Amino acid sequence: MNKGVWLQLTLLDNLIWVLFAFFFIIMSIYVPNFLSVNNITNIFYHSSILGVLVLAQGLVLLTGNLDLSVESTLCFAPGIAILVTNALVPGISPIIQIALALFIGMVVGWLNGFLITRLKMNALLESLSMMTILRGLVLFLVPFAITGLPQGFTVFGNGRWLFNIPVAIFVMLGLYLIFAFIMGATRFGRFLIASGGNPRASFIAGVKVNKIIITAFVLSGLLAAIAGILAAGRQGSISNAMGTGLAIQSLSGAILGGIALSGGRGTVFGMLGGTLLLGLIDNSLTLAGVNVYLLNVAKGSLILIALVLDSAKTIARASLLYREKLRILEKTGSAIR
Amino acid sequence: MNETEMIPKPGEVVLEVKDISKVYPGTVALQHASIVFKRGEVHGIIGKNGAGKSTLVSILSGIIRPSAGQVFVKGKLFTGFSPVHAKKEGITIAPQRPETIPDFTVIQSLFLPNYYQRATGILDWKRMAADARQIMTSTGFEIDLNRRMSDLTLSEQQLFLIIKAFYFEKADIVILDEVTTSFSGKEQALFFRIIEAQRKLGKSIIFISHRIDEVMVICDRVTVIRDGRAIKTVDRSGLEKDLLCSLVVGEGSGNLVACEIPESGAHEALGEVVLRVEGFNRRSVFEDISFSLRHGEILGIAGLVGSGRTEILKAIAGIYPLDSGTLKLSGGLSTRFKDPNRSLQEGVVYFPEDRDEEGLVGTLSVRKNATLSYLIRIALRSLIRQQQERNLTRELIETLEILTSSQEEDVQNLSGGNRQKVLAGRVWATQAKVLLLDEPTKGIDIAAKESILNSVKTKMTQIAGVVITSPGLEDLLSICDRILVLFNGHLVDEFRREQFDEMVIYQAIQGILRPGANATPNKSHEPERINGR
Repeated sequence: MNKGVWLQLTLLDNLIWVLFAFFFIIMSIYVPNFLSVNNITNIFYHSSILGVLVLAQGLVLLTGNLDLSVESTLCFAPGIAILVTNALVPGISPIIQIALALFIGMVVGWLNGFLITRLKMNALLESLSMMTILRGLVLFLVPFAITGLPQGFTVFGNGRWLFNIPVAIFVMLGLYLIFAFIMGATRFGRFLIASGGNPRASFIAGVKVNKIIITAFVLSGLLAAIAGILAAGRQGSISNAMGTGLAIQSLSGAILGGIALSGGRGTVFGMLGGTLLLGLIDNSLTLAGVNVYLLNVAKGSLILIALVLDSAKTIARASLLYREKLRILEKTGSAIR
Repeated sequence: MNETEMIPKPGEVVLEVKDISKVYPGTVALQHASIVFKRGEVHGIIGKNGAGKSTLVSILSGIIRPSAGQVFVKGKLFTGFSPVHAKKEGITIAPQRPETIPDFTVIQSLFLPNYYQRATGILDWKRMAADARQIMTSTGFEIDLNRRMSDLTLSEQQLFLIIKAFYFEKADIVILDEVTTSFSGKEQALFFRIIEAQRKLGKSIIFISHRIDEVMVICDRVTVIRDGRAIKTVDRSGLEKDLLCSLVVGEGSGNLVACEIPESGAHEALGEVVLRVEGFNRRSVFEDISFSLRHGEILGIAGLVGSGRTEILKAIAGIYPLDSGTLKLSGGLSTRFKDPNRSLQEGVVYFPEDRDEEGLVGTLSVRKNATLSYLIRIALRSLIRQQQERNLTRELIETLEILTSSQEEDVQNLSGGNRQKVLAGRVWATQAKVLLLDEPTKGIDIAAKESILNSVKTKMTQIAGVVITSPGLEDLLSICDRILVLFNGHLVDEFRREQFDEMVIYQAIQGILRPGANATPNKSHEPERINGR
């Protein structure tokens, strides 16, 4: 494959980052105060909770399912962990509280995966029920908000670290690195994306599809719980409405990042691009003083544009590869088989 | 031209194709075929796979246009015969693979799209149910009208579509395209009754089938198609099984080997037994299946569609359920695989017949498809060694001659033959001891077919014993050391390479056994002639 084709393919495959660069340049030129270290840090910081949730959603989308319950797990996992530890063992180390929150997230994810794979429930309906149930429980158990969280618990959401950069940014980027590695370099990652692309074929090829999908849901629950800890830290409390509406936003981010709803297509790097583009639009339009309702119009339109570009991309990619094939044929002189 | 306005009398020509040809790039599907279909007759069309039957069906139903020749319907010449014309002229087709709306009930599907309405525009279910019940009773097809289509078995769906074509669409000319493949004895009898009644009503029935015994029972005339030509039309009085078989297979069939494959090694070169299948049973699918396979051997399983080929191979690999039976591998322990993962671990790999639904992951690259099973069986570390994986893929692309722009191309962008080769590469890369290849040459062109058969013969036998099925006998004759014949779920005969004779094997597939065959088919499946004819 020659360099020109390789470059074009790389650009097509990372279309979201091309879009990101485009908007970044436009905003740098037209929006005052956009291009400052402070503001860029701000974009990342405000994207961190949604970013982790997009990762949670994206993993499940790759398997060809979806998980609306992430927004409720985000509140339920840390909420219950704090309630239980405060009631039973007040003053316990925040590390235990965090571990418990993560564990609860994983249990919720396991339950989702179990109901969807073993009992063959539809993922949309199952996770919708789970979302409603968990939110209901939180609203019942947490009257308004849990305050007075220990500093060890909130540090991930409101603390600052190297060069005074928020810890949440490190958490988000660290998680993206880990999952990019899992998806790109491990057998589990390969089996996960294969299971999403064609579950029947993967099963026949020897992949333990159900086990893989359940694991994806467990990871999704874990990530939702981490997002919850970040959110609790940022607010300094756990309110019972925390996370409401984020499920749809996490879907938007993942789809914007090039994850196919039908499963089996997309990258972790793309998900990060989707998250950051949403954050960038949010931030820059707010700076420019655009009405908050119009902001939603802009975000929605962006997803529509992404969908159009996605179809165009598929066609462009196929024709590019076809031309490349013709070129190879001409060079080798063999016939088309 | 005013005869066309009159109602045709029995025996009158209702449909005619004259000198039609269909040419595709690289192949000729039909050449100068002329066939006449009459009113009130059941006209059988038989021939081998790829002989041109499906092309003929597509032309008769207006789906494709012939490259040359004419189509006459009730005396009228049609130049651009289309599905709309076909419908208007009362031609309907019951396809081999029923396509129904899964969530509709039987009665909703029966009347679709011509529902009865009351004057108010409200659908008159009461009247529809009454009519449907009456028709179902008269045909003897006892079925609950409120069952969902998705709950019907394949053979029930096929019967449903036949009844719908005759009684609800009220077509004059009905094309039945291999609709009987999954029928059991009882359903077959019901089917014969329906056909007989409809023939008396003066309907024209075109019956495409692989099963010569059925054709013998119900057809008034039979046209044999071979290599795209309508070889001969035989009248009822001349119908004989042997004659039909020899017309289908053709002259000088004994040495008909399509592909140039290196001569097989001597029998003595075969190694130890790597797989022994003992007493496989699955109620009403296959019964008492036992055979063994040696290292380096290519064992063919020949049989009609619906004879149980695919199910047996899938049952070995743990994909299809078994009622009873065991497997012995080279270790000697009796076992049975609970899923394909287990079977792969033990070195038994299934190559799916349905390439795109059950074989490949279309959204992934050539590399990720080719190494999927390899990663499960051979490369056991959690981390994938990228360089090793790329080298393996390059090797597979070279040895199997896969045409792709790069390893990273999505597999769905490849041509059918090349997708098939990627799947062959995936199976081969597992280094399994037993390869179960289910129709690896299905639906691909000559060059790809030759290439795949060649790699089975020269490469796969180096590492494994191979069981292979194929829609046509030629492929099996050209590479197998041994062929087992499956008829109605029973193994009825076995041929060693020196005994290969296309005609004799073809007859065995049809249930006509040579003297001294080592098993007898279940006699209850043998249809009896109706009405003393």
